[in-house]
Amino acid sequence: MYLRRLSLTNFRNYEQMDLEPDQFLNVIYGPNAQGKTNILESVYFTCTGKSFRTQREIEIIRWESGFSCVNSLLETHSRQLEIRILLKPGKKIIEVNGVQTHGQPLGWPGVVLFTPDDLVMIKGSPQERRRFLDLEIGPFNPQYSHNLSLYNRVLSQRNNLLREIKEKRIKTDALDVWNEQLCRYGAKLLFMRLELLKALSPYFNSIHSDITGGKEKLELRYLSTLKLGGTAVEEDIYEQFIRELAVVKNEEISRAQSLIGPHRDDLSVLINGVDARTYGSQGQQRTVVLSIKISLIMNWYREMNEYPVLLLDDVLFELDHSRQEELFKRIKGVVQTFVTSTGRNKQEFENIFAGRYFGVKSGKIITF
Amino acid sequence: MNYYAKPVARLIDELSKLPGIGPKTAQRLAFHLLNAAPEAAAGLARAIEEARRTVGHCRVCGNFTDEDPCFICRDERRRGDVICVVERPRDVVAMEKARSFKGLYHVLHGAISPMEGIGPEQLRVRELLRRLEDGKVKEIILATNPNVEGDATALYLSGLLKPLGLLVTRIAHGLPVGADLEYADEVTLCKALEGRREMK
Repeated sequence: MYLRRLSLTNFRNYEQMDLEPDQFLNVIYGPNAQGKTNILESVYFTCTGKSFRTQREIEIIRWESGFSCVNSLLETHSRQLEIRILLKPGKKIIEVNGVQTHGQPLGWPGVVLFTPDDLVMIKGSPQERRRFLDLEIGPFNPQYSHNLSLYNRVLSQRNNLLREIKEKRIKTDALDVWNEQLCRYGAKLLFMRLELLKALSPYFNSIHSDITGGKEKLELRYLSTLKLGGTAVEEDIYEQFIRELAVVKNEEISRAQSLIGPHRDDLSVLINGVDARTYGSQGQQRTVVLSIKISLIMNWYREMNEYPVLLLDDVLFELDHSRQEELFKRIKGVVQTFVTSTGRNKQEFENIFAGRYFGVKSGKIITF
Repeated sequence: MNYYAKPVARLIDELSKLPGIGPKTAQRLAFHLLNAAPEAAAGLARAIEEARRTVGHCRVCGNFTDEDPCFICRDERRRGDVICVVERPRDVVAMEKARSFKGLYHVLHGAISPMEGIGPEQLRVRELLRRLEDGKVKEIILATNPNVEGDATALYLSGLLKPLGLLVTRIAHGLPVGADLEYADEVTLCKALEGRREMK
């Protein structure tokens, strides 16, 4: 899938901008604060109907104008899609080929994004890694986010109840009805997480090995608060969850918290068997995230028979040449890619990688 | 609030306490009542007053009624061996509109929700158990809402009722009738798949 045409009106600092991207590589370069990332944001916006930078979409509307509009033409393997998103304060209208739709314009994200913020999935807290799982793995299964919100609902009801039990206002057996639901939705979440990690692992193994010239072996290990012992059957996970809840019951009551389940799990990223968070260099960590992102692309292809668009915000040029080249070997001629850069190594890069280069200054494209 | 005469302001205040009524709607309703014929406002006031005075909970099923027991519980043509348990009186109305259930109801007046401090003791569970004592009831249909709280309530009741040797059933959820598969959302479709059954 690729973007054939992109036209922005009053989008961030662009009053009017029309772009005809290359089918494969697009490099957007220019000094800081000129609007490079805004272009990536608009591509993301067109594909997903959402921004990756803000929840407050009104920020997208250009200063002192009343609306914002993104028009684009997408070419998928089977058809052309004209996507139009009109944004007004408090209102958003998404049209695909003239028909208004709600939610995702494509029915799947259609885009994989890598920004420096993604490094928190390695450097950050377990909570940030769980967020990564929810955001990146969730979209592969339409059931995921629904189950996640049910799980969270059960969790807060249950935590309230634990507090009441601790303070002896309610009897302990009131927990039973919540345990059943906690385990049911929790087992579904766990099952989906494990399934997708399993589906991704062959991809990131080989990609990471290629990018690092065979020097590094990447492994993602799901660290569950449950003793799963290799089970990956939803029913078994459920049974195990129920059994372990009984064991931690008293501790849960005394701490008035739900102590086990997917909301407490973590992901460990290992390079050659060593924890990348503690021992990995900046460059290694960046490469790990890149490998994972590329594996997401491959998995989307397997699911949808279509490659999503890849957006790389300020991350490509931080990698050394051999890693860049290995990366492009993987995606060349198949994945449409948008890259932002301050233009520092532009000349060098241009000699190696053919594509379209757009210079950006104060909300205008100045060179093609 | 100096825009309104005092009684008008008070009327708007009272109206905007109603569910689904914001300040603007409240203002519109208040002005409507002031403009309308005097009987209209008086009639409304009387209707509210009378409903409050005469309507209470049916001592059998807990539904709103002005005669105790309510007309459903007194109806001898209805089956006395099935009770459909619902959360709210409005759920009884919804079921009755369907006109396919000919048994009796039991209104819990809520669902279990620790966040709001609602446990089984706050619901009309004891009243339900009392209705089962004479052994006439053979089946309980749990028709609480298909959300986290409704499911917890159904689970709780089923744990309580099954040991009594009753048939305990839960209403099905899934595809709406008359709808095309293509228009169903993914979550509903998945639920419908989970609840599939063998063709007879």
